[in-house]
Amino acid sequence: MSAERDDLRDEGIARMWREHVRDEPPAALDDTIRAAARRAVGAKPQVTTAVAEAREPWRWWMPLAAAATIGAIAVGVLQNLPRDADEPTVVSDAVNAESAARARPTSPVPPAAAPAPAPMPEAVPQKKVAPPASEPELRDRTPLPMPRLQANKPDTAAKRSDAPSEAKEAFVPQPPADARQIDANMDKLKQEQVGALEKRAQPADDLARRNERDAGQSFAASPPPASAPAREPAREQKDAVDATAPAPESRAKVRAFAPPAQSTQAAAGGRAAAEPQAMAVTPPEGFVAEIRRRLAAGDRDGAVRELQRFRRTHVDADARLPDDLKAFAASVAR
Amino acid sequence: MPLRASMARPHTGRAMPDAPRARPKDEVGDDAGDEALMLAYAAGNAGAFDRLYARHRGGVYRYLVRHVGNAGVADELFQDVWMNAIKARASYVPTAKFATWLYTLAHHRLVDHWRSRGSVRIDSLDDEGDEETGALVDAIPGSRVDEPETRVASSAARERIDAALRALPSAQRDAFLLHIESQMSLAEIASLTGVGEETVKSRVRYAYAKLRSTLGDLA
Repeated sequence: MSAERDDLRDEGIARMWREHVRDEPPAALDDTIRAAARRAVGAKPQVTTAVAEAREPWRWWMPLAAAATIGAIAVGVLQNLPRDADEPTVVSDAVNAESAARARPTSPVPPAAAPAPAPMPEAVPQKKVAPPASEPELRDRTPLPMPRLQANKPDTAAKRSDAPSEAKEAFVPQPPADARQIDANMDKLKQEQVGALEKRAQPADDLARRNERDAGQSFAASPPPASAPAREPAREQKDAVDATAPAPESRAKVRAFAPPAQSTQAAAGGRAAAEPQAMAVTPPEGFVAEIRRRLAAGDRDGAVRELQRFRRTHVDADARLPDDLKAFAASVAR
Repeated sequence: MPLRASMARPHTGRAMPDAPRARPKDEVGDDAGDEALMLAYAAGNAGAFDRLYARHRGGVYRYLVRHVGNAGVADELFQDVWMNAIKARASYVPTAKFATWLYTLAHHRLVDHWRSRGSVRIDSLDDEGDEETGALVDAIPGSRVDEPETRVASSAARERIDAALRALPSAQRDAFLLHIESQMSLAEIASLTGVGEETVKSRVRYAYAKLRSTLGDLA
């Protein structure tokens, strides 16, 4: 075929054609075609379309999900919000009547005379929405006992002008009765405390009287037992009063708050002054005389016990012993 | 103008036994054939298209401009031909030479152009009568007889060459242009134009003879 083609080919015409016919497309057309060719293989519209289709479902449910989330949050917040005070709520008569019936027989004190408890609410406010149709009928037929919530909120009770008058009276506070009851209770408590203190001071008084007796009988030269112990209990009593007494600026409050206690403490002052006497230290001569007496009587055990007491009350008990008793003290272990 | 399926696939015969397979990007050698370059471009290698375009841009343009005789129209047709080639890259099968495929696109575009004008019989390219063919070519609106070619050099030799080419019947001119510009064989030209190979051989022989008789001193 190519040989046949070469036979037809005229080299003179072909050379003339190559020399004189050199038409070529313009450069702008070349650029346009090359750019189109590059765009055709470089744009990849299939990939772009796939990405757009993949993103499309993600876009449409986003507003829906956001709206659902916001709605759920709003419903939750509204349900957790407290009810409005102006909302038409009423306490059911049946429930309060039952609770009142349960409370009346068991309460030993009438409501007016009952001691008012601490101003702590006993129960969480309970609101029950009654049917709208029966609310006015119940209110007109039976007097509503004041609920506890309204008892704790006098202003709320006062606002309800349509509440029964007896309910209002039942919850009027009575401060004079409460004050008297508190004073009575406080006096009773103070008396019990004074009695306990007297019982506790009784053995100490006995011991003090015995020491005084022993000292007066055995040693006339021994220091007067009543002088030193008399000063020390007085000082101790003063310290005790100062320690228990509040600050000067608050003493007036204490006096006004608990006057019976103050008077009770003054009455027991004499007995309290005798208590330090029981705690007075027996002089060494008293112990020495007692030990000799017991040894002379043949009561060695008693002498040993007395020596041990002497050692407990005086650190230098062995040094204070006379020479004739040091041998005995050496035989008794410390 | 839309690309027809027949233009995108001018040849539907069996694949060439020695047809080169597509190579990966940027691995097309400098001596690669047109078919390999086209396959590489279909695979995404834009550089292969540049090399392919550089090889055939002049021949296709001269083929078109020598037929229509108007640079503006030739530019439009030339762009359409290459755009059709770009669009048909994915369906390109190397059943024949790339040049045959490309010039087939150009020939079909040229026929569509004349058909759209409506003043020229389509079968004029196959008309063997020299006198009728010359008359039909002269009747083409905007032909080189009436309009000066602004994009073509105005040398005296070119004027004589153009005049001699215009004197050729359209079928002989088409066969001559395909033969001298596309380097196609007679069989391929016959397949492209839809006539017998002997007819093509005769047209080419007549065309060369007339041009030699007219332009003998230039050759």
